Amino acid sequence: MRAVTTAMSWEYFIRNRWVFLLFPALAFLIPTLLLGSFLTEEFDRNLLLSRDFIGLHFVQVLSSTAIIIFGVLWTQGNVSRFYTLPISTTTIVNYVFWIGAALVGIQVGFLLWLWNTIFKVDWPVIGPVLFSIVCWGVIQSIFRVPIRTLFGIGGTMGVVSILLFWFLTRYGQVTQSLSEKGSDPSVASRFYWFLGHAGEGQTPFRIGSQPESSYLATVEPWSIISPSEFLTASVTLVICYVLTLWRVSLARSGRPIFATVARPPSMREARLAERAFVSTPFPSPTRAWQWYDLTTRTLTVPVATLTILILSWLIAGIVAIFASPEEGLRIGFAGTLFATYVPVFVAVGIAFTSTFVEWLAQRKMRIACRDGSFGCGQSPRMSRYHYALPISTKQMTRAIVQSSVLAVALSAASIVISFALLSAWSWFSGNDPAAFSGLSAGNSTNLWKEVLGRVAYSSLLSLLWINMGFLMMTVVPKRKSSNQYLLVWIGVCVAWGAIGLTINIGMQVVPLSLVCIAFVIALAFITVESIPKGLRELRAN
Amino acid sequence: MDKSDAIFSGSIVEIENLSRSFGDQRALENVTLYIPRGGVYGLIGKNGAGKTTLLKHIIGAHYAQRGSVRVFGIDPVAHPVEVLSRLGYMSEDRDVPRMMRVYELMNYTRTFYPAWDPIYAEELREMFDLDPRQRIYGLSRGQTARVCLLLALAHRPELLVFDEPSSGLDPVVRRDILTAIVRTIADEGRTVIFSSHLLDEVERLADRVAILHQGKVLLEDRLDTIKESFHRITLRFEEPLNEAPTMVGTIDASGSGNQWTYLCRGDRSQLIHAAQALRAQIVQEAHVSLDEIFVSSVA
Amino acid sequence: MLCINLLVHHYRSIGVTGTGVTGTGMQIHIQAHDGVPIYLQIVQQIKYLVASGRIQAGAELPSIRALAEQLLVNPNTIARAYRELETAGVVEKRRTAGTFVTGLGSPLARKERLKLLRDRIDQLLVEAFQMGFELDEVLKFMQQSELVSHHQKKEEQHDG
Repeated sequence: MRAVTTAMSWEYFIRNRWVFLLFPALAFLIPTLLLGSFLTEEFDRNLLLSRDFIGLHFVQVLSSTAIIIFGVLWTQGNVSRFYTLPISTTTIVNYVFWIGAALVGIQVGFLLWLWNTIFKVDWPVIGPVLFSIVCWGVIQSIFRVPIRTLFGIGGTMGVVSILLFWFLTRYGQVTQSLSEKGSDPSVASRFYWFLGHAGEGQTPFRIGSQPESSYLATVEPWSIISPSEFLTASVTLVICYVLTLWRVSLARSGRPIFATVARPPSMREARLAERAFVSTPFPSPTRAWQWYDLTTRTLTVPVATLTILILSWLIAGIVAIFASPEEGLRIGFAGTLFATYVPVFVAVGIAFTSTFVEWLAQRKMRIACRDGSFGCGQSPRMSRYHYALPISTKQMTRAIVQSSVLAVALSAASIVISFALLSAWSWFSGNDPAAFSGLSAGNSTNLWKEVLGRVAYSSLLSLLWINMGFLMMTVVPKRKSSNQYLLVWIGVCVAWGAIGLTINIGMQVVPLSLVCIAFVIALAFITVESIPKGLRELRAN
Repeated sequence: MDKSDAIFSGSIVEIENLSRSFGDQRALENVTLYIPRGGVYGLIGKNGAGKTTLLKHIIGAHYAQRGSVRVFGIDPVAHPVEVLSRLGYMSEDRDVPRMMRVYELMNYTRTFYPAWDPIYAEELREMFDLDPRQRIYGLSRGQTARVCLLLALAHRPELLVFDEPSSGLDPVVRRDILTAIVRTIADEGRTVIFSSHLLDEVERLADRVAILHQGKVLLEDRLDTIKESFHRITLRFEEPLNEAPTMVGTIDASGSGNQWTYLCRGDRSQLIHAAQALRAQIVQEAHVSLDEIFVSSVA
Repeated sequence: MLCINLLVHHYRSIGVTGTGVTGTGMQIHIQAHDGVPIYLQIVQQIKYLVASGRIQAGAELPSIRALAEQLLVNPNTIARAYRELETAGVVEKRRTAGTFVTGLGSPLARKERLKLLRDRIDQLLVEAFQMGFELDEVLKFMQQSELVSHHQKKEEQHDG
């Protein structure tokens, strides 16, 4: 085993040589430039530690983490080149995952130490290092091998959301101050306090107005990791490792490696599939296609939403038992509110993934044609089996729209049900739900209006985005060189992102909100109109 | 086969002046083919010659950039359902959904084909020894090919389109595929189009053959006619020669002294006349295999 | 003389075992890649099987479809082979019943057998001459062959 790891490590270094230095150098560059610009003689170094400059730390952590992780991923290369070697899958994944994690942690730590030494900013080191390692784990489990199964996506969503939570809580105070919500404690800060101080007998609810002195208290713990935080990080990392192992073994041999790991998710998958599947054939091609689209694409939305809801209910339950029921309730509400954002994120993810896959496929075909190699003209986009089935474009469109609506409706329904259950719980324990919900609603009727409004808006946005991939496909011109295509695609992404942001900002202002809603509905229609065009493209190109 | 013959005998696929490029790569150039109803049509060519592209035009996966494609008299791109419901297709990469189980996939596919015969499908499944509860990703390559074959056959289509059906498969599975082809055309009026670079399979099964090379049709005719028009003939001359004297229709010549072997194309009686004219004795005459015909045509 | 090479090829590819009254399990081997047209291979092999007595007179040949499936060959090819055999008088098609081998006594069949024998002899002589033997040597070796004495003994037994 040692010899194998040594050989693989040697291969790794030989493959890359000087490229190794490229990425840390790049990661070093951006914050250094920023920091350097501030370090004039008159500048008070202490300001760097203050709240106003926390944004710099933000940028530094995120950018260096991203670049280092990308660098290690790039230099490691495709894991499939190890598949034909006589080594176990566990060895491959151990090598890729843990050594990669160590490399990431070392590089990030080194850079931070370097900055601290050169610029004397006294930035925390351990927290960001741990964060970057956990990021690495998450990215390995998502991107290492692309396998689209319900379990894979559900697990991924769970892990990503934990990561997001954790990061947000670090800057909970910052986000609060940036969004200027006044004295309403934000969801993120609640969680931060919980994670950072669980078991210390503190409650998150001392937050009212924040005096300046407590600011350092928020930043400083980043250099001390609380036990619960370490636990969360470790658990997440282990989950990521297992996910990566599962994915790589599935990709390598077509079978998941551990029966114990594989059985629970595949049972769940099988139950989900069986519920949707009948032993007699489907009543019509539209229903069959709808089932297929649901189980391979759109079901990720309700699955992700359900995962978040279940997680928040779990945490709420644990807190209710070990701390106080009121806190549990608050956490439950907070989780449910967070869950309203999830369908939109997942739908956006679906849109971008499908367009990205499309771009990759086009690129692959272009390369094959340029080399004159075998494979030119083979459109690798979609399963040839599926598009050779005798189903009309109209039937396919109807099926896709039905599956999208069903998925979003499931997701919305689960949120509303969770909210109703939480309200019931709060009433039974003699509390007014409005006080716990974290929303600034006066009484419970307004609360319900607010919640239903949010759910409706989130569902609308999800519906808009879930089929955006088709619209992107028809908007972006094909038959250009792959670089041009990439630029156009990035441009379209940015444009849509900007539009999305504009809509969200516009919604804050009441008079504009109706216009925004109309605009969103119009966009949704356009997306639906583009589905048949996109399908025709996919089928006959 | 020219257009008047085609119209008379009823072609199931009519391809006229089809050209197709991918970027600046020309995949097909001015291809005209009339595939008659009933019988086996073999498409042969090297990798990258355009066989797959041509077959994809037939199933409507590519629209005709220039020229036209008609299957059952209909444009497969404009009317996919009418064409595809009477057609059974097996792609080269056999990309059926991998997470489904065999019985799930059968039920799923069955929904799309009104002519699906569930009893026949079940017979095929048993004959191919496929475990219904097995997931597709757990099947071997040969078993996956059998699944794809089952899906293509179970609705008894008028037209079977197979793209490199035997590629990468062991002889046992190949036997199943060839048997399926033979059984299909034994039924009146059904047609099989298949592309292969395994020429012995094409020789066994094809009635008509088209040779594709770099996107163009080099040769297209009945297989019998093609084989009858190629000859390998050994001549003994009266005196030793340094070079083989030219004969009409010669593709290749080898030998030494006064015995030379020619690979030629043309009418047999013409060849005999030519040999007599050269005052050579015909020592040996042999048939040329499709393999050699193909190699000499694309050289 | 012209056909010698063809015969050398086809004799090499003949399968040996036999026949059964109904012709099921008829052992024919097709080689698709040696150039000889498949229908011709089938014709020659069936002719040989009939002529050598391995298929009895009056036996039924497999249906076109069955033989096509057995050999994995286009049924049209089998049909063409059967047509040629019918023209040569080796088999006859009975409308509802199938294809049957004609009786051995029929003059056309005998003509076929004679042709096959003559071709065999020609082949033997060509090989012998190429190896440098003379005709009287060949005849002497033939008489000396064990098979000949064995066959003569058998004939004596029959007569006696």
